[in-house]
Amino acid sequence: MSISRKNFARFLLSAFTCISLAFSFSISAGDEQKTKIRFLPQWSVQSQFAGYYMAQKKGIYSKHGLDVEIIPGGPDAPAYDSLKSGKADIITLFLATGIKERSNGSPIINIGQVSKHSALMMIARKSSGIRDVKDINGKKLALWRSDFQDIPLAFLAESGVSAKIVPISSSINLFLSGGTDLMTVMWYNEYHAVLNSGLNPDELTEFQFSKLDFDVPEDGLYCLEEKYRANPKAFRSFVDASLEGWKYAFENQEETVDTVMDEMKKQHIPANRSHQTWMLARMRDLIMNKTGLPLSSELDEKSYAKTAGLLKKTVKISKVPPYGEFFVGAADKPQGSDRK
Amino acid sequence: MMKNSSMMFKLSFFILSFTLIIFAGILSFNYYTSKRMILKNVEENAALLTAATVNRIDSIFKANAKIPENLVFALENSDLSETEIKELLVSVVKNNSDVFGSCIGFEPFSFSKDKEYYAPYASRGEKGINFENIGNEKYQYFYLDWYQIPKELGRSAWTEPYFDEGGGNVIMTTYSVPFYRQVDGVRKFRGIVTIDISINWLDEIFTSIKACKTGFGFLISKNGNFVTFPDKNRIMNESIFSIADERQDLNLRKIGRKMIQGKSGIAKVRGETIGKKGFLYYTPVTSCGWSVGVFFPEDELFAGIRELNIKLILFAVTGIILLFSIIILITSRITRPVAKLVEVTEKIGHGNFSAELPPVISNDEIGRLTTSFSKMQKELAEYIKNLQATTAAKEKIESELNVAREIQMSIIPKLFPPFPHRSEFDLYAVIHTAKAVGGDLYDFFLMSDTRLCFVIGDVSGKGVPASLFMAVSRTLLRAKADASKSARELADEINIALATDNSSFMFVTFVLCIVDVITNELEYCNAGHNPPFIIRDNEKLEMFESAHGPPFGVSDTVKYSSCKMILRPDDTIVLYTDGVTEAENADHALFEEERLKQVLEKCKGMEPRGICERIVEEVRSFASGVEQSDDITALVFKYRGGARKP
Repeated sequence: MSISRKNFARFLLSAFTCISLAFSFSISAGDEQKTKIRFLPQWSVQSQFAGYYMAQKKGIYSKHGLDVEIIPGGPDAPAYDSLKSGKADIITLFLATGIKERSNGSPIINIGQVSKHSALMMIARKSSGIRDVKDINGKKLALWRSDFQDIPLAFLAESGVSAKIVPISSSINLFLSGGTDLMTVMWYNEYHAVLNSGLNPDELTEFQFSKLDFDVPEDGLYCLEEKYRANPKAFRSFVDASLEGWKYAFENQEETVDTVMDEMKKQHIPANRSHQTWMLARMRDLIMNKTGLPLSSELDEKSYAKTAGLLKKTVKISKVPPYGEFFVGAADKPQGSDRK
Repeated sequence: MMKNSSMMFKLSFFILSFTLIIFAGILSFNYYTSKRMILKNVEENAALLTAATVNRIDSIFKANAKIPENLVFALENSDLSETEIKELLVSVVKNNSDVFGSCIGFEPFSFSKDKEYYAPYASRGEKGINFENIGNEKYQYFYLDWYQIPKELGRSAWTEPYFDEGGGNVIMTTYSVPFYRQVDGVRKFRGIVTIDISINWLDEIFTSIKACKTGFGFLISKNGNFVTFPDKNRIMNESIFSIADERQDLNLRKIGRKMIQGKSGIAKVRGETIGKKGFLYYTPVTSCGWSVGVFFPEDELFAGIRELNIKLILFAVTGIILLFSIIILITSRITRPVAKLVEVTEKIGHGNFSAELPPVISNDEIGRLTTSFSKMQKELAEYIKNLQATTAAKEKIESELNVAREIQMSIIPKLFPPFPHRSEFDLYAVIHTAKAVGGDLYDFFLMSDTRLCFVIGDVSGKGVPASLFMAVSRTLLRAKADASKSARELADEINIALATDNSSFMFVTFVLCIVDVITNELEYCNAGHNPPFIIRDNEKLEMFESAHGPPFGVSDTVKYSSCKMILRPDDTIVLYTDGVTEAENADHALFEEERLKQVLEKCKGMEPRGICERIVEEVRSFASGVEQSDDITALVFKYRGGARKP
């Protein structure tokens, strides 16, 4: 067996990267022997990420030997770009986005699948004559321009209907003003914002994806594979501590909503308690197992296959990354973690 | 409880309860009517109060709306160069103090083939007017509300208020007007013209709204978001619906929906939601589709009525106390003589007829009652006196009657066996008298050594006359019965004696039997009496059915006949009166001959005494306690025979 020169060069390069990464980690570990991790949730602060904020506030990360900095995400800081550029070590992404990125050759891995269900919904005003899936045909649908559109598009394709898509950024006002008949919403977010703008649930036709055989998991934790391989212990600790943070958040909802509201006010984001309380309660529905505690960071292989299958059909991803390569769960025992 | 309460208590209780109900009714009616009137006034006042505010907002919004509409006119009717557009936008900002910025956002490649993003924007800066093209890959304006909403709706619109991009505390809203171009006869969307205006001046307008002392006005946007509110934290953070949701106030949500639907009205709001209980008046701002709300605290609104009501309640309480005292006074005046009357009545009830009645003061019902009572008392005393006299007389008569009865009974033989030395026959009789002196009789005696006479009779009527008539009949029987007379002759004689000069028209039924112990012959005569029975060994019970004439004393011309039969040893003859056959039980059923027959059937072989006792016993048990109405009399004769000829 001989190693070609090209392969050898690649080997050398990767070996060098590993060494340099390990070096950088040991430096950033600092005097208190705490590993510095910069975490970027894919959107600005809200209850959708309450678990992480609580883990930080209650010293759970610190207890796990981590020094975590939460960098607010949002339209100005796309999560994957931040990961790629090195601005963040860990980000959250939709499972569908994660699969798409990995299949496009991005070296990212899922180290913890936090949400277990889909929060995606399509809502329509009953007054626009939409009562059933087939009524969607030919109607105007406000759809996000982001990766969030993948599953709704898969839903339309699978249901055999086509709508006039009006791409939007993130506002619900176009739908509220009557500019479109339908709109995609997140159960925990825009759906409630629509209710809090005066529309009653009985005035809406709702297509909740989790009940329509499109129940694909959403928020998960992602990082670059090579960074993970360099210090798996730190990344695993982050996942464990984050779950602990979520557990704390669900058990202390009042305090959690207060924390989220304070954080939002600091960042000049309009905030109201009604909405953040609703969001936290829905996150609980999405994150909790049917059996309740303990929370799990496992990515269900069947759900993975289902999500990947939908993406292959609709956004035509080139190949489905193998489950074992895409997801690195708690079973992946960190090497050399017990140096003593 | 009420049943045993005094009249005074009942009267006071009912009058006071009804008075209270009436008072409460009047007070609540007064309260609710005044409240309704006040609310109506409030609605009218609020309408006046808000009309000025709404007009002011409308005029500013409408005036500013004209600016982009004029720009649209220019854009649709001429091809403007970039320089001309710049000049136009800068002059718009420069010349309109309300305008913070103005923009023309073109559809991709619509301004020129090489420009995907072209959105020239002039805005007010610290050093004068800034101008730039804000469209680029990062700011893809055609996906934003200010661009998309008028584009999709095909008409101009005010956006939801937002914070100034600069991060300052300035709230802005943008008015967007779509513009079009005719391309090959088709009207094609080309872009949006906007002006941004600061709306911080709204705050000032709303702080000047005074509703009562602590009431206030506020403004919400098309989506229900607070644009102005006394608590600044709510502005841009909360909507009327998020507050309703947080406080679980469905009513507030309903009000919010009416507000964003552009309706006017007044509605009650809960205290917990807005800080105080009160009323919310709302009316739309038509130019932008927002809505003005004015809150009136209930306590301040109704302070006047509350004060009035407290006074009214005080009046009512005083009135009721007065009324109570008057009722006590009147009822005690009414009931005192009644109570006295009750006392006297009790004394009279105990037999004290001389108890003194209260004096009659007035001529009302109580006075009249006392007068009648006094009359009744006198009459009652008189009556009792009469009653005592009558009772004494009656007692005297009764004792005399008793004596009469004793005398009557004493003339009937009661010694048994009556002829202990005669072995040829045996005889027994009973008479059980009813309460009143009755007219039954029986008798037996030897007419000669060989002839025995025995009779039974029943006088018509009761009482002393019957008793006397019976005594007469019996005396006559004894007087007329000499040794040789036959029963028929004896009957004729007694009848004639009784019927002659029978002015009282009394009569007596009789069965007269004479037995000759030598010839064994029985002669009997039945004068209208119950038919006797004869019990014979080995034979059926027989009844002497033949009658020989009417009762004695009816007619003195009647001739009686008689029957004869030969007696055999152990033949038993049973005589009885209608006291036996007509004895009644509780169901008014009669004892009847048939029952007597059945009793006698069972008496075969028994001695006279046994038979008599048995008859009485059966009658008694049939009547089972029902008082006897007539004398029960029976006589049983048993023939033994075996007499030797003298």
